[in-house]
Amino acid sequence: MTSPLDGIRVLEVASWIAVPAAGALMADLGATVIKVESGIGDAWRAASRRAVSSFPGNPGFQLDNRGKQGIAINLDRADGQAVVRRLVQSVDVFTTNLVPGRRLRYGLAYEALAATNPRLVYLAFSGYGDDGPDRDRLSFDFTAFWARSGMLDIMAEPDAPPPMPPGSMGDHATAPLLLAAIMTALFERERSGLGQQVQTSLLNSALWALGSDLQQMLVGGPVPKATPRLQTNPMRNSYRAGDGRWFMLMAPAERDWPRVCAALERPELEHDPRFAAFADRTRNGPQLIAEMDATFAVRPRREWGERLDAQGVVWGPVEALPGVPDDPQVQANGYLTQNTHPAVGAYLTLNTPMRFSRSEAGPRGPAPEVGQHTEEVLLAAGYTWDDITALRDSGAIGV
Amino acid sequence: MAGVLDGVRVLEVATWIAMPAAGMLMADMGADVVKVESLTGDTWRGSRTPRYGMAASPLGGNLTFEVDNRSKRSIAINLDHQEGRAVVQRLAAHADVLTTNLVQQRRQRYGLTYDELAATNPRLIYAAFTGYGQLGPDRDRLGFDYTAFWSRSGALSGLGEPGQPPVAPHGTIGDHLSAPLLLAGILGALYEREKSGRGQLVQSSLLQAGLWANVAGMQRALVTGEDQQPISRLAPGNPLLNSYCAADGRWFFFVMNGPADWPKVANAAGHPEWLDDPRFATPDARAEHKVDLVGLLDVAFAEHDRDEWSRRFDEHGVIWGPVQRSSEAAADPQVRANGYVAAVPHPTLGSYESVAVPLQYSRSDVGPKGPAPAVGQHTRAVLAEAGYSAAEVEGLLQAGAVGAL
Repeated sequence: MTSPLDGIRVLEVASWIAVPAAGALMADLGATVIKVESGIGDAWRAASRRAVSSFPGNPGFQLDNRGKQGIAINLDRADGQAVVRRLVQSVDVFTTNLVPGRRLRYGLAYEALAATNPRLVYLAFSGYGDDGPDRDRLSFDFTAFWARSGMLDIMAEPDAPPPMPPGSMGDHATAPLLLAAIMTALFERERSGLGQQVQTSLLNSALWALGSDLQQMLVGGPVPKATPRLQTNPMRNSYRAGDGRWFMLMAPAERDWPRVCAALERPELEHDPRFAAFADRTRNGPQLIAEMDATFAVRPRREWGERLDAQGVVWGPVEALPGVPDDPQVQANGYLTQNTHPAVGAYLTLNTPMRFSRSEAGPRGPAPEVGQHTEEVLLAAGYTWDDITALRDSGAIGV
Repeated sequence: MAGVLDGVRVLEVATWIAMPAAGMLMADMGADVVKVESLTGDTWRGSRTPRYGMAASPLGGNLTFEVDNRSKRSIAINLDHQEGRAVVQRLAAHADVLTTNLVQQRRQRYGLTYDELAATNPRLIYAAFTGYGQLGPDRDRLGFDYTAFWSRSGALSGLGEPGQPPVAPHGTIGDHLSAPLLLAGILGALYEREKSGRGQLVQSSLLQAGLWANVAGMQRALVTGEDQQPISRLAPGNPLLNSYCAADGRWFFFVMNGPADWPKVANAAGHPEWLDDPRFATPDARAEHKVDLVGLLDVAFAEHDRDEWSRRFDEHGVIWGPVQRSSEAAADPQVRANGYVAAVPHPTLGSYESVAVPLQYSRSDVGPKGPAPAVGQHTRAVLAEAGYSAAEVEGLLQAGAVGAL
């Protein structure tokens, strides 16, 4: 099988997670992705994660950089910057999470690169967008995606601290958006023959995710806020079974109400005047949740699952991660796959989160070491061994 | 300016949120997106979420439906009617992309599987998105983002405080995070078709999108078998990557991962003497004495309002962000400066504000083209374009196979 991005060449001047993860997805889809790092490497390689004895380094870095080539270049040197500009002439896509001020300082802004490669698709990504007072502000997903956007606020119980988001979730949720941005521009280039810059940010990605809530507020509706579990819509809530395991119930339609009552084996609830109509169930939500909490507490989750399924009610278990790899649904769909690591050998990892019927997608190999492919990449770009030696001696590149 | 997807024809046989949101992104990018609805319309149109104050809204109805279906046309077709199914099959013969969130069983029942449609249109890109994937025991299980994206995937297990009920992930966030993945998948196949001349089936699911969003926790679980636990803000692995509350009750996060970051935080907090405290001298020491350090930081940050901390953090190079209300985010000058909110033209209101497509192109137009259609608003126009005669259309209407506004 061939892959959708076979033959596409990508130069990645990006660190940490979101843009590199999009690069890993492109590599999964067949692109040649060359990762540009400083001599000491992407800070994400050595980020202070709890050590894993069975796996050297940061497993997250492996994931976000699998299947790439690595080249080490010192961007603080003019001759280092010149190497990047020369490599840009032979690529289709340039991706960066440098803030606009740094792109300018390094001579790597879109206008500079497009002048010599008008077919270049240039992905400009930052925390807060390329315009506005905070365009050069450094960020992580915690600060720009979760906090600034309003997302954490609506997940926090009233008067409680904001919940701690799982690490890098905002970044990984943003990576498919970056892939889509690049793909749309590549597709358009097939017609126009021209590349272009496409811009987005962590803040923009989060606002998109919050579209439903923002929309009602933007047209004058109430400001969305978190609802305490005991005051939320009882038909769309978390419940705890008798074995202590939680599940999510999603039964928002009118037809779901008798089904839920039947699954609970509480037929008297269906016509209880406190809960008879949607508005009643909303008004008397805390009472209904108390009734449901009491009933759900008498059986283990597996039995409630069977009863809810029998009634056609939508529900899902709140799974802890170690159970996920054993989920038969995860296995049947190939959501996990093997990749290789030079020290560990084969290990289990996430597959590309989409599958094509006729094209191949999936991990192509491990993350490169810092500068592992510097010589190979420069030779392919037309540098001679003498050029490479001179650049190495000047400190412009690392090999 | 032209749109990146000008000339691309999309047929959407999908309801609720994730897939229609991907359709809206394509429509805003210039694609002609025809939404196939039942004669009574997408269930999401009438979903009752009184919390949102729908009745009070100037747009009426379900505002989220508006976001996810703007810029499209609507054709009302009865898929339970043989002639209705035939209309979809005929429209699919001329489409570039068909998107669906029908589970496999229903695609078979309606004669709308990829194999059937590709037989007459081998260039068709068929994007199939379900709760739990196309294979496995739960391939026909219905799912919402709460159940499949957040809960089943394990993504929810890392959010919130230890020992507490799961955090309510808030409606439609998981769906909207899945939409760009669908867009990327469709574009991957469209781009490949430029070279091969052939379409294909591209598949994903809410479960898979949730696994991907939580990929860091997953990767760790996969190589260690370790459980992902919610992290308490009172005992975080790194006290310099945590939330804190200012004197005015407003929260903020800061993320200081680097080896040289501790002096910046201690100085910004106004406590340079902490730098001499051996309990906090190294990342390992700070992790060991995290409870003490969070306690000290909590007391220190309670001394000033957030605006004052904002000034000090910036002065000391602390990477931080305010935990904003949605209203603050909507009014945020940074959001406005980047055009993250856009005006949608509306026939009676003139225009209203909405969330923009989360991408900006330097050379291509992207933006709302109009409001969400009424059910069947474009049935006659779409059928006429597909070559149906006026008499055929009337026949279909009378048979109940299609509906028109």
